[in-house]
Amino acid sequence: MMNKKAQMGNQITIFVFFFLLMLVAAGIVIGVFMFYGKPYDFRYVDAGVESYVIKQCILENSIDWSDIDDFYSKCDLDKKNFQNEITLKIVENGKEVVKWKDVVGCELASKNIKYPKCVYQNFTIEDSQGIRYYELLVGSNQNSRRVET
Amino acid sequence: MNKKGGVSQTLQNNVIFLVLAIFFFVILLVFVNSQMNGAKVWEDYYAKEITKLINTAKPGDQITINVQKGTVAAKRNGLELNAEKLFIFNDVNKSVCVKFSVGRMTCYNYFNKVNVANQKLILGGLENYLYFEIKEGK
Repeated sequence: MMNKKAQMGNQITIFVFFFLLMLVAAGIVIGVFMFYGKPYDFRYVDAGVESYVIKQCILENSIDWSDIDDFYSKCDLDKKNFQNEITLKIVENGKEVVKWKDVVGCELASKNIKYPKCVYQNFTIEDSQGIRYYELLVGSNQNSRRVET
Repeated sequence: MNKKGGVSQTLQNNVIFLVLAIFFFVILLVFVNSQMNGAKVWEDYYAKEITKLINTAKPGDQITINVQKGTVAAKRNGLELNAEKLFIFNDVNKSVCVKFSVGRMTCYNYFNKVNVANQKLILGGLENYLYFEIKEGK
């Protein structure tokens, strides 16, 4: 005759079995999301590209810094997107000529992933107008968006 | 103890265990395979790479980019390989949206004041390419 008490103990182990299965599943799911789920962080490249574009624009054009629209017009930049997504600071001969968004975020980028990624460069122009020294700090914090179709 | 009953009980338990384990691993395999398709990853990648090209382009430029990986993912998800349905350029918002799966698409803004026109997919051969032209913007 079967020992019913022993059968009861045997059936309780099914919960242990399911718990182990869930542990294994959780590990695999977490691993897959960590590997495939990480987005492509393009912000540093984005800042680098914009820094290059702005530098080329300054080299090729004479910009009236008192009129910001002159900067957008001569550099062929879309004002709305640029101001929304880009951190910018331009210094000409030690004087700040353009600045928007808080550039302090650039220095904190290594502390927190939410701060923008920035690119700094400096260059000198020597022409008929004299020698001008520029410092350019461009940052991007743009992330891709998932949009319903 | 009834030994015959014990043996059949053990067998039954093991069969149930095996069936559940196989079922569980099949589900996991399907999940991992769907992630490996990676349509979302490729959408993100191509939206940003195309934006990089547009940001450095001038009116009159003609651009061709290899989109083999993305079109493979789109085809696996049952989408038609049509440039205007997979790569959506919005000249008003200055954004590029890429769609390789049913449902949502991935968008990214560009900053160059240009328009994009005449996009087409060049299919066949070894790889697929996206071609588009840069026009003067408003």
